[in-house]
Amino acid sequence: MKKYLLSLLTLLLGANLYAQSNDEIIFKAMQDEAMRSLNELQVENVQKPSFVSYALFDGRTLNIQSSLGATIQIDERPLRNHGVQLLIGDYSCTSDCDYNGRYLSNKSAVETDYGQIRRELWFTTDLLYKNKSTDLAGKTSLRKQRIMSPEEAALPDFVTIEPIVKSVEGYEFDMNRTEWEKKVNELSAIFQNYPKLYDSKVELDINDFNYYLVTSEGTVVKQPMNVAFIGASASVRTEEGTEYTDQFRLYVPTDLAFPSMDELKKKVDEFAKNLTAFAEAPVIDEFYSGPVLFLDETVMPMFTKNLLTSEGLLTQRKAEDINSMIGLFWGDMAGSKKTLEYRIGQRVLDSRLTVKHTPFLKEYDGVKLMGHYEVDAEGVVPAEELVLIDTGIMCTMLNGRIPTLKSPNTTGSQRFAIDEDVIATSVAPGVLRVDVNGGQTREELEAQLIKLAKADNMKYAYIVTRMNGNINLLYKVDVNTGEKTLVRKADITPVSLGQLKKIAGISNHAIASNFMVKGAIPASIIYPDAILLENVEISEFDTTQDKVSPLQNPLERDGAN
Amino acid sequence: MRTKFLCLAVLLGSLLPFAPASAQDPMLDLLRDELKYDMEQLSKTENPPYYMNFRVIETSQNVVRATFGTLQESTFKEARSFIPQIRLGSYDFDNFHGMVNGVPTSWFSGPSTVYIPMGNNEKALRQAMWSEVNNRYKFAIEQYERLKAAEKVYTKTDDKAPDFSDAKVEKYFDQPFTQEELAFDRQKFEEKLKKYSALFLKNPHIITGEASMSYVCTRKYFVSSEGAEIAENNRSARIFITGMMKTDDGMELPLNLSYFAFDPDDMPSDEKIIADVEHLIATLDKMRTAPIVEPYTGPAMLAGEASGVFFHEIFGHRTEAQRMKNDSDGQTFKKMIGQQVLPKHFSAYDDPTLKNFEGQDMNGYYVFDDQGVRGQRVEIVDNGTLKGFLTTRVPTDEFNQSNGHARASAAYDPASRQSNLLITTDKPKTMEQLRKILIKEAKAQKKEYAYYFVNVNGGYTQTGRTSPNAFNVTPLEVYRIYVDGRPDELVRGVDLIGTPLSMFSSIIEGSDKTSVFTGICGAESGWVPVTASSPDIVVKKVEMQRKSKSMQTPPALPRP
Repeated sequence: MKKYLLSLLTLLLGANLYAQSNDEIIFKAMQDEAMRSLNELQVENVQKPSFVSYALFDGRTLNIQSSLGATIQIDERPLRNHGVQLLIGDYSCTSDCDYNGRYLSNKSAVETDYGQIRRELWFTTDLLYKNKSTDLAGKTSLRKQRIMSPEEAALPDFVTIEPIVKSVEGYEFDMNRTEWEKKVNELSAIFQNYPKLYDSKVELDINDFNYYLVTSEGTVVKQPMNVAFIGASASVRTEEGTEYTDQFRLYVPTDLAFPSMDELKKKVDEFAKNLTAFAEAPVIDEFYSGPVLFLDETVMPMFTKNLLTSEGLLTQRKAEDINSMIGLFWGDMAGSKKTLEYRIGQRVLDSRLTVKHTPFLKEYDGVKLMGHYEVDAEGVVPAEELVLIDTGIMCTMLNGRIPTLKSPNTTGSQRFAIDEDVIATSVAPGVLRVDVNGGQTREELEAQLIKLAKADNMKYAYIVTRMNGNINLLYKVDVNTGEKTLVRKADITPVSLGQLKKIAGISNHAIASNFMVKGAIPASIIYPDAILLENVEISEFDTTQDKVSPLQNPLERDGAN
Repeated sequence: MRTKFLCLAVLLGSLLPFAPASAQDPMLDLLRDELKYDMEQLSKTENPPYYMNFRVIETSQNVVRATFGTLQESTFKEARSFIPQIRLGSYDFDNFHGMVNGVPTSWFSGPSTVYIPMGNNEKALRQAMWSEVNNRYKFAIEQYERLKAAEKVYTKTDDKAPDFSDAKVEKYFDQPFTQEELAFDRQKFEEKLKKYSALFLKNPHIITGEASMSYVCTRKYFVSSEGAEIAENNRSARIFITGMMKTDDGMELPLNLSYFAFDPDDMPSDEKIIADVEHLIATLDKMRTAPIVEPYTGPAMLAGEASGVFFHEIFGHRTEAQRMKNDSDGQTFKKMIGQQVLPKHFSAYDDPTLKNFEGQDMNGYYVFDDQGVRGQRVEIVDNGTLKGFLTTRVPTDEFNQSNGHARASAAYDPASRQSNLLITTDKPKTMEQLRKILIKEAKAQKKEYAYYFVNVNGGYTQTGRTSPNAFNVTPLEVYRIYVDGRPDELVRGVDLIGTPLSMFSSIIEGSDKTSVFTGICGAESGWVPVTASSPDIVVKKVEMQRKSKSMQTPPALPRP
């Protein structure tokens, strides 16, 4: 096995001489220690490991924060962590109790040194091996006390795969600290033109990382994990004393994919302008239950919040031990039969909607997709296209190597998370695509909105253009004149999966957005840019009002425009 | 042209050392203006402050870390934080009555650090300051009303002193750091640390072999509504080396080396550090097979650094006056001024003005404390008699003036804290004499041996009333000294514990050699740099308990 790996390593390494030597050292150290652990690690009366997986997270990060044209903080540094997964027992019953995809992780030296990488892996492996030996004993004992169906008893704990050797090229980065600092300061200076806003900040975050993966089965993978964002945040106080804080983040897979400075300036300016206008808008003055048209990014959470959870499309095997971390946090929820897994073959969405996983897609309509990946965190290559929901009917879950009764195979969907402290993996999509069969134009949808409202004898209907906590930008539309008025303080009841089974109208135009699953895994979604729902509840947010500070905001004090 | 301007600027700076602060530092100007505006505006409200101060802490921090000869980390970070203090009510009773911090804190977390922009962008700086002043002012009003209500329904504290006192208004200005002072030869120290930590590879039983270095330049600004204006610089360079082994029974055995200087160039030579590391490795190797100590009471000798930590924990923390205002504090010494607390030949003082002691730079040095009061040497114990406490502008019944010991880290408000604590004896013994005294005492107590604590990791103490008023010092290197002349025996696995008052009465003699322990001390006002210096001492009776240990056995496979 060792020789096999070594010869494959040579094929794997790229042309760049520096990278070649660096990668070679890292892989050789990981592989040598993995094989030593597999073959030699044993304590008296305890089985040897049956599986060892080493991950090394390596790269650099740059974070710049600025306010009103001045740098608050710059954090630029290399980052390297290592993590170990280890199983004792054969794959039918392994020592894994909580199935949470975590690696036992620790910081690594940023300098590449064969001996040091091995020492770090050796020490962490030893800790985990001893831990797992007690886990296996506990799990075996628990299983003996349980009544299991023949299917449950036959379900393996870990599925076998064909090991692969693969190196995926990542994006190129600029990461010029001085240049970026100048740009971020230019962007944050825009808020000087908005004296009613305060605590404003512009933040740039660039992460150029690679994961190195070596398993005792023979998998050797290097894959990029690239994420960058520029975001802005600010607070505003309304006349009656309610404080609102809003923010946006523009995610891209590399800093070279950011829009031009002119476009970024326009975006920040628009954000500041919208927040200022929002504070001056009238308060919603009614409880509303009726048709609502959701536009642009407000459509996204309908899919991400309903589909990308362990109750949605992401398989999560129930923890064996209620005392394990996942057991403590999730109780019986993981493995609950309320999940989509138990609704395969049933209608779960409107019949015009089809949801696919297309992880190889790199770009859509000019948007570089952050969720693009070619191999998952377990060294499994996902299908180029996998239909998850076909014309509204639930078909398949996304899964990794931990099978469940309804999702017995991996779909290559176990993804590495970006985390500075631990190496973690989780089932998550790369690029999710919500296709629409048919659909209407935006004008048609607006006309339908008015029609539905009139049919309900309503004077007004609503169009939502932005949702972020209690900052919901929505327009009250007069059904007779079509006049639109911005209102605020609106609490919009979240749209449930059930509501998406019968949708009043869907746009025939799709947009793409990048986002983070569980706040840590880069993903993308392509989705219709407007959805009209018939019964949505909107009410007034209950907020507190504070008296105005006796100290005037310095921007207003100085008489800025 | 640029060179000429620079030369001129340096010349002007040297010719005008007493130029008014406004001509010297834009940050000081801005703080003064903003504070003036805030005081004026807030004085028109129904909750006018009677006092305010603004603190700004600028740090530039270099960190290098190496492990087993490989570079682990090498970073540089700059930050600027802002901490306003707003006092409502009056000197007699204000919103800090019995409280340390002007923002909400919990058992789990202290105040959040508020970072403000670097550079001199006035608009950005003013708005960041304005935002935090608003936050703290809001909390100040709520807290003040709560405290006033509490006065009506709860018992009053024993201490009747006011909540705040007068202090001399000071103006002090250090020139901003020069490029030479800020410079850090990163490559040189990366190589050095790699060299030191690589020495641990020589011993296969060592599981942790690290060398780290930090070089921090701190510039602190303090401006008060009374007119104080201070800008003070401090530098600290520290090398810390740690090696650790694991015994077959799971016990982790760490040993540390620590070097401190204000200037990185003043660190000891490679020869000295390498020799120290090699000695540390040899000691660790012996400790691995050393016997475990059973719980013990009896005589002991504490080497200077161990003794310094011992005094810092059992003694120093109990002389921090501000805490004594609170009835939940143990107030060990509050009513003991004028009484004998140590043997008559022992004295103790705390001196923030001490910059260097017997060739060692002192980490607890500062000119002004965090309430803008000049740090003063305080005679705490004179010939065994308790004379003074470490005071702040929060007075107690016993001491109504600050002696410049109000200290805090970023985000926190200050409280009484130690700086450079020094223990002295006017009847010093040689080490040989001290050893004889120890053996004599052991014999008198019919002990087969006594203990000698050479090296400690640190310690902690509890001064409150809800838990035993005890201390714990964590020794790293301990020897048995046999009364029958057998060679000293290295042992392992003990903590030094006890209660303070019984310990003071047990101290017998001190040596003619003083050692300095350099550390960072954590308490209710955050982490502050300190030193604790003491001669080696002999104590009639110490108590030792087994130290906690991991259940993890040593790694099953040899270290690669």
